Amino acid sequence: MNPIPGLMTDEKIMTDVSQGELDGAKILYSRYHIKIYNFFLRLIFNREVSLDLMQNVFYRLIKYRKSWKNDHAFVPWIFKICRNEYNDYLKKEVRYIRNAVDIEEIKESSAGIIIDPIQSEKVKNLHNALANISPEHRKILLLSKYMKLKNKEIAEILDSNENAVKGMIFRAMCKLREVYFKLDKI
Amino acid sequence: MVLTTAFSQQYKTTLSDKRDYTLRLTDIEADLNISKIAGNEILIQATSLPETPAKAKGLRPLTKTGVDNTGIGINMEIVENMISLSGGKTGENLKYDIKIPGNVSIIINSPSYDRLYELNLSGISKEVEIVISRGNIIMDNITGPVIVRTDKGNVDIVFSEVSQEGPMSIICQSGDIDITVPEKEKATFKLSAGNGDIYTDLDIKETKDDFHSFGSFGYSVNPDNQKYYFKFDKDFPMNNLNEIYIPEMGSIEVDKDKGVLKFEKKQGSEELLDLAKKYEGKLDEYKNAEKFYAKSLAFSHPLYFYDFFFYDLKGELNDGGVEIAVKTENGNIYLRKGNP
Amino acid sequence: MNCKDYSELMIECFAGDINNNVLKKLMGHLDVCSDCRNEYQQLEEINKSFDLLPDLKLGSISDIYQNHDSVQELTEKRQRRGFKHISRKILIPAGVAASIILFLAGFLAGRIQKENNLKYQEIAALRSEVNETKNLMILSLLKQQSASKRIQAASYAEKLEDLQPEVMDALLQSLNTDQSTNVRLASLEALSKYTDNPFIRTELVKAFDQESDPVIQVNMINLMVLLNEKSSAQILQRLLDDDNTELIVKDQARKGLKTLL
Repeated sequence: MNPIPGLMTDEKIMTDVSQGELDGAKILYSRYHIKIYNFFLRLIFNREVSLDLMQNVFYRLIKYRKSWKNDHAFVPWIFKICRNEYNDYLKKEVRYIRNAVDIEEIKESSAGIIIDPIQSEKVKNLHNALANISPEHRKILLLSKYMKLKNKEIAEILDSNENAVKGMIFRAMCKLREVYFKLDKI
Repeated sequence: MVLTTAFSQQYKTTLSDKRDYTLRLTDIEADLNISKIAGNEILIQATSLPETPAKAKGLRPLTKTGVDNTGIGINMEIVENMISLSGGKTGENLKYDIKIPGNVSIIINSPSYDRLYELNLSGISKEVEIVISRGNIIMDNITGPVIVRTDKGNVDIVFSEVSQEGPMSIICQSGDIDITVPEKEKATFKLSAGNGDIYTDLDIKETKDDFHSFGSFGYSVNPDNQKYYFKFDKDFPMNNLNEIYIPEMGSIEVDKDKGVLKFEKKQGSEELLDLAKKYEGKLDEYKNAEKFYAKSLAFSHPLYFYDFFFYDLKGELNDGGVEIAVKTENGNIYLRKGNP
Repeated sequence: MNCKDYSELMIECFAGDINNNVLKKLMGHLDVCSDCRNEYQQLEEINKSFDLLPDLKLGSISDIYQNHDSVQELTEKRQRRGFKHISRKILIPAGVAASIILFLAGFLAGRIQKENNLKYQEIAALRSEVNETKNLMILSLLKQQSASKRIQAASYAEKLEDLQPEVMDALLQSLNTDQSTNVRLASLEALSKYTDNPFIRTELVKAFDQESDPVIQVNMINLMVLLNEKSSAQILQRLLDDDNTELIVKDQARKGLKTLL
């Protein structure tokens, strides 16, 4: 394995992992765990659960490493795992409750980190808006706007096609805009 | 005492003691049916015993370890609690029906023979250990512990209950393993089916110990005095604190051959080390604290990933119990609920 | 094109999914349609807000003001749990050593219930006594006739925090010479937990070199790859070259060699 982790692509590292070299899993973890944690956090609004889910994703990454094919792209692949984790969580939702304290805390933490008060306010508004749209809409927007994934990648993650994804993003954004600016229904 | 009948031959022996005995069958090239009976006698019935040639008249038959002193092709010796049987005859249809009392455990050891064994055990409530090369093993109404090793063939086990006395291990090089366990029994399964799949209708809860040590924790900064604090997950296994992985630690270099590391400290990291030392409480000197911390960043990963390498799945039935390792390198594993 | 179509275009524009001609058309419309212009500005603000969303760390800000005491508390809580863990597991009698452990475990459990603030040093001392007896028990179990008991020894060894040299030797011996493959595999599993000890690593490679049981070979190959143990490469090559090696072992050796080198 190349001794300089910075030069290795995610795909190359994952290939090594799939063949038994688990050192690389740590590099992937360090590259992605914060982002994935935040993805879940902003989707579910529960810190404890998000931590759990994020860990599960990496657990699955290692456990199902043999399902990795060299010609895959890493990011859509790991987000498919995220999607599966999220779906499993939905099935058990009776155990996990949306944590009102966490919603507030996440909002405050996010806004608190930003120095410029105007921008800080914008982040609070976004946070409130996100909290008030459906999880499905929230999910697609997080994938597109927060994770900055391309439509093609999102299509792969959701087992859909690019046009459908475009449509989903459009509808989600409309809803978000409506809530964000407290408009009457268009 | 030797009883002969027209087509089969019998041998009977009485066990004088109430103690626990072990019946060890070595190098017996015959199919075996072993079952439990009441009383204190071992009864062995041979079927399709090859005829003794006329030329052998007046000669003693020898088995692999001694004289055939049972008249049915077996040498038997009892030393203390060990009843050793070793075989002499070989025959395609040769079969021994063995009935044993409840205080007898079983060891069947025939690893080197090419024979395609058919082994049937029934009602045994003591330890069973079997090593054969090729053949099928069927166990029914048993409690275990069960230790099995085969090269080629299937293993079918139906537990009436799962003895918590000691761990079990069933290993096939090539073959299916089919185990039935009553729903309410307690067990911790470790399952591995290389080149195969695992099927079950039992409610097995997967255990994922040690995974949290893969670096899932957080830290936060007190803006007033720049100290770092650790916050660990609830279930972080502190006993085996071998690794603290801090993503924000700057660059970390690892020299695997020497086992350790150089890492670039960030500002305030002396407090961090200080805290690690205090937290562990094991080290008196700051210098040692640094070494300990550095070591704990080293690749001790096998400890945490071991589960993934020896077994595909580790899970608990009814909150866990005795450990049952089931491994086939080429075949499927079936775990079934018993009939109530 | 009506305003709804332009809405869609706007969203694609923010996703970067738009070509220059279409963009020009959109801008042209925005010049003349104030509703759409308004909508565009709103979308722009939302997108900017998304860009501002920070990556929050694991753990929450409320932890910032936790003091050292809570860390200390956490340590003790975990150690106490560690003891309960020990006493729950030691239920299987195996000779004299076991009865000592049962006594100790009961004694510890009693003490812990009474005094909730055992000092760290006391805990450590008691812990090492229990550890000592566990080591003895493992040695005794390894000599038992029953394969299940010998596997039990390996299981206990696996869960210890550190192995005394005698136990280490006994485990290695078990790996190399026990009559039962099942026991040998259990010993391998136990030893694999201590591979940060270079002596054990060397011994494992030696054992691998002499191993002839295909199931153990396959598992050892996996372990060598996991440890990234390059010195095992020549053993893997030898296995591949040897006609007598089982197919499953060859397959694994081939994969292992590729990853190691």
